[in-house]
Amino acid sequence: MNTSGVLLRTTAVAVGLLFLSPLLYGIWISLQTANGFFSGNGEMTLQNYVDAVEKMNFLRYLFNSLIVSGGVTILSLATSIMAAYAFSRFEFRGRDLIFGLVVATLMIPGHITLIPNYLNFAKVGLLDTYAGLILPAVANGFATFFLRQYFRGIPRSLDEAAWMDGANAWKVLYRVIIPMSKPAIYAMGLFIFLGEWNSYVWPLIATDSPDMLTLQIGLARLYKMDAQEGLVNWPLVMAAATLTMLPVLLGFALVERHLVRGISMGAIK
Amino acid sequence: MISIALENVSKSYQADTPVVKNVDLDIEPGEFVVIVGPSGCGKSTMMRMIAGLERISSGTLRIGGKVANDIPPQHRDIAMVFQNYALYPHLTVAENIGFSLEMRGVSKTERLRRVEVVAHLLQLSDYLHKKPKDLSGGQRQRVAMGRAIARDAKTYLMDEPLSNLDAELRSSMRAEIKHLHRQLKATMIYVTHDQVEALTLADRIAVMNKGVLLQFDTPEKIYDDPASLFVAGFIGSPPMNFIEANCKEGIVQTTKEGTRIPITCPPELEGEDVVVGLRPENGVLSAGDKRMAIEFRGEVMLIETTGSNRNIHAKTATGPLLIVAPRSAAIGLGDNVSIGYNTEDAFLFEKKTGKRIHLS
Ligand SMILES: Nc1ncnc2c1ncn2[C@@H]1O[C@H](COP(=O)(O)OP(=O)(O)O)[C@@H](O)[C@H]1O
Ligand SMILES: [Mg+2]
Repeated sequence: MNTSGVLLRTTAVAVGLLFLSPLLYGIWISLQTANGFFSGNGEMTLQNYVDAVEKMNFLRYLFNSLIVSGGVTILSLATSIMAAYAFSRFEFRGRDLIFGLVVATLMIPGHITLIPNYLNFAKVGLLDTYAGLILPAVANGFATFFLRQYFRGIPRSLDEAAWMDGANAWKVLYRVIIPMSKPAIYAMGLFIFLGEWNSYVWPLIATDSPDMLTLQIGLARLYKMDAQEGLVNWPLVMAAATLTMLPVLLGFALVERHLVRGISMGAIK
Repeated sequence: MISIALENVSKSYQADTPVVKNVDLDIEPGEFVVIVGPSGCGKSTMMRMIAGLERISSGTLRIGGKVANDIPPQHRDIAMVFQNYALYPHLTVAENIGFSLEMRGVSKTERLRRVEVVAHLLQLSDYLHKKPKDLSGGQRQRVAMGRAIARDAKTYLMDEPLSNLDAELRSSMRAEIKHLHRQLKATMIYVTHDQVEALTLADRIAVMNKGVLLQFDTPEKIYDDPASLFVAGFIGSPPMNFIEANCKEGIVQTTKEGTRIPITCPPELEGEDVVVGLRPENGVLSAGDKRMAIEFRGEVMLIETTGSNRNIHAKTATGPLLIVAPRSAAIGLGDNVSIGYNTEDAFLFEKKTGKRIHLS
């Protein structure tokens, strides 16, 4: 390896460590006792993790988060795949106008729709339910736009070959378009899942009962709940935060190979 | 086997610029029809209209006598080989070939059996588990073919299926396709810009240019009796020689010396410009005077050997002239030669319209 290679690697490792440092520091804190943390005597324990799970109703929040993030991911992928298919493959009156409107939704900050959404969901009685948490995120303008662009890159003649082979519109979609777009769909799915997993404001205002909280809200409550004599129990909060992160890392590990293939697919052809 | 008929069919992608114009084409059940014409003349568009992939702007398409303009492609019982193959890149060769059977709900065991038969026929048995990207051009072409013939369609459409292959593979695939047609006993419509392919494959050839169907007839008739200047020039290899001339006093005349074209002109063409067509393979070459009815004098400029024959390019007073001569002919570069034709071998065309004028 030449000097510039060494330099490159050293820089990469340094930047990587810089990015990781808050995370590693958090994990480090989570392994100390509260006393140890505040007095700095370095007393170590795993009890924070046990406490986090027990005090915080962690498993229930985890379940809620999985249902909500999973539900949003699957449903919004389903709607945006179908919308993207229609926008990329069919000619119908007003198509470009409607697509323009879909793209226009990207310009509206989510917070503007918070109040109307809240009022509407209150009216139909969906607050504090899974449906109330999931439905607002199911129509995803960005995913529709992104997938439409990707679908447009798939040669039309493949659709046509499938038509000639006897496929109808649905079969063209799920036997040709979707399998060929796997990398894009996985990437989009991961993106949506992460966004939903970390979402805070809507779950905060749309839930109420302790059993409906998602992990992020639960985490925030823990933060307030466990203040001892005015001090936040940081090791406990960090243990809970680390646990909150784990499912996402696991999920990423599962789909990672699809993403990497997606990135290199364009390159070799 | 089923008949396909186009009645006054036109297609415009943009308003007022038709790319297929008022085409009438009557294809018999089981016939092998080749649509031939230069690139961009509307061949693929014709085929895509028959397949149902392109809307017909005006006119009627009948499949088996029934109006089919609005039948979606998957219900036309037509299989198609695409010009660019359009293989499904995410599926294996076996899955590609079996796709149409899967779409029709054929059971898995039956599907596998049919795929094996087709793969054997097309010598693809060793590649069934590969993906298209791991195949050579010729193999991909055969997979595309296999995908079309895996099911028993009533009609097969093939859009320049051999255009990406090398010459050797092309000629062996040509024979294969002809053989397939006999086996499948189906109606076949085949598109090519290669007139040799058209002549060797077709029961009948449809010659197109600029969206217009110029002639639809058997290969022999097209060759022996071209309906227009374009057809005459397009079909036949090497291409027909054309000599510009004029009708004067009832006879075709050129002002050039050393040229004699004693063909009588019909009276209505008096004073009109005409084109005389002479096939290279009908010319008779001699060093001296043979005293044939039509005669040119010229100098040999170039000799190409094609194996059994030689192509002699001569410069004459009326322009270049190409003759196919046997290899035995003792002709050398720079020789002064006389090139003779019988009047029966000459074709006469009106220059303005390109229309054939039949000599009586
Ligand atoms: N989708 C399309 N939109 C607009 N023009 C087209 C389209 N497809 C083909 N054309 C035009 O129609 C003419 C005929 O094309 P095509 O049928 O593909 O010719 P060929 O197959 O004989 O080469 C060409 O001038 C081409 O540019
Ligand atoms: Mg074409």
